[in-house]
Amino acid sequence: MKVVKGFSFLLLQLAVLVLFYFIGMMISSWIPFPIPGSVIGMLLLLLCLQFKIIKIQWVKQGATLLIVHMPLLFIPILAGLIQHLDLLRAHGLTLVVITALSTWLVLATASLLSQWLLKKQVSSNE
Amino acid sequence: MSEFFMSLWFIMITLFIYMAARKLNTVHKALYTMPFLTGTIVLVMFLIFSNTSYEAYSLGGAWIEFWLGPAIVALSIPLYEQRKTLLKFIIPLGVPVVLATFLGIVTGVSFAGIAGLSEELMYSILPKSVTTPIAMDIASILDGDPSIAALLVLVAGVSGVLFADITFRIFKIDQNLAKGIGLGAAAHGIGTANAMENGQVQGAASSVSMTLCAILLSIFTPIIAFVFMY
Repeated sequence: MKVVKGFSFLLLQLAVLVLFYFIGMMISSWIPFPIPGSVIGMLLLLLCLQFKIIKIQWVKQGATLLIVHMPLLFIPILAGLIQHLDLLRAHGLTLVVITALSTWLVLATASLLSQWLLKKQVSSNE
Repeated sequence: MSEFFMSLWFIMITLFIYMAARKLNTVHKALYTMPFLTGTIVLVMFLIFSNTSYEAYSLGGAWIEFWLGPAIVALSIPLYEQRKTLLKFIIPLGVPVVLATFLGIVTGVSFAGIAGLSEELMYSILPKSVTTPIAMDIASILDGDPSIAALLVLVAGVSGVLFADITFRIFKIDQNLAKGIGLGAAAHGIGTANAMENGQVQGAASSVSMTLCAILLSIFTPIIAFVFMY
């Protein structure tokens, strides 16, 4: 009985997240810029949490489940690469080099700038 | 076999492969045993050896993919829980995140242009620094390819983590908050998982920075695309 109760509670939490996703998708189809519906749903839920319309306990368990097992959700997508083997054979290395280089620039810039601003903030507080 | 049972079969196979991959990752923890890496390789081999087309597999795969949307919605929970950190460090967090988002787009696209890659590939590179589901959405919006985008997100995550230690040493970055922000902005979920192993502050900073970058990119890209396309 306890297991059934826990499980239906989890399903209910997942249903709330799905609901926000659907509302986000709906809004996304109304606005002229195609902002992903999932992101709109995320921002809406954030607002509802902030204004106490939704309590964090209502969604926390379901959200944790989805976040922890997100890698599972990537597997079917990545397997889609099977359709692009020719493209990867031709440009794969270039893509990897470009991505790695750009990633490194982002990493270095963001952490350097952040550290500099952080030290400024700390010294101005003193 | 009816479509229903075929979908169910492919869902079960994917779940089974994922659970095995997760098990491997707990027994032998390393960057190259991350479940979506090993899981994808095994699934691709399964599809090739069982002579299954990706189209047929997608009958089941689509049911799993669907949950990416609600999973993004779920990211609001860690962001909400970190709201105090976010507000306290709004400047050292927000400014680098905005700059990093633009730098990621500009360098990715311009390097692709220099290398003479097609527009489809260029737009598949563009969202590489943000978490997979959002990167795929953005790639689709821009007419890039979602699978390639997902692959490059993976490459960005792994390379970001590989470069992290040496970069922090070269540039003398010793603040955990700054390290976390860099990892989250450049290497999204993979960077955040890595940052969490180095402590709570770094993990929290990385998680906030990853989510903010994803929100910024998903708001800016379509607007920029809208302005250029119409």
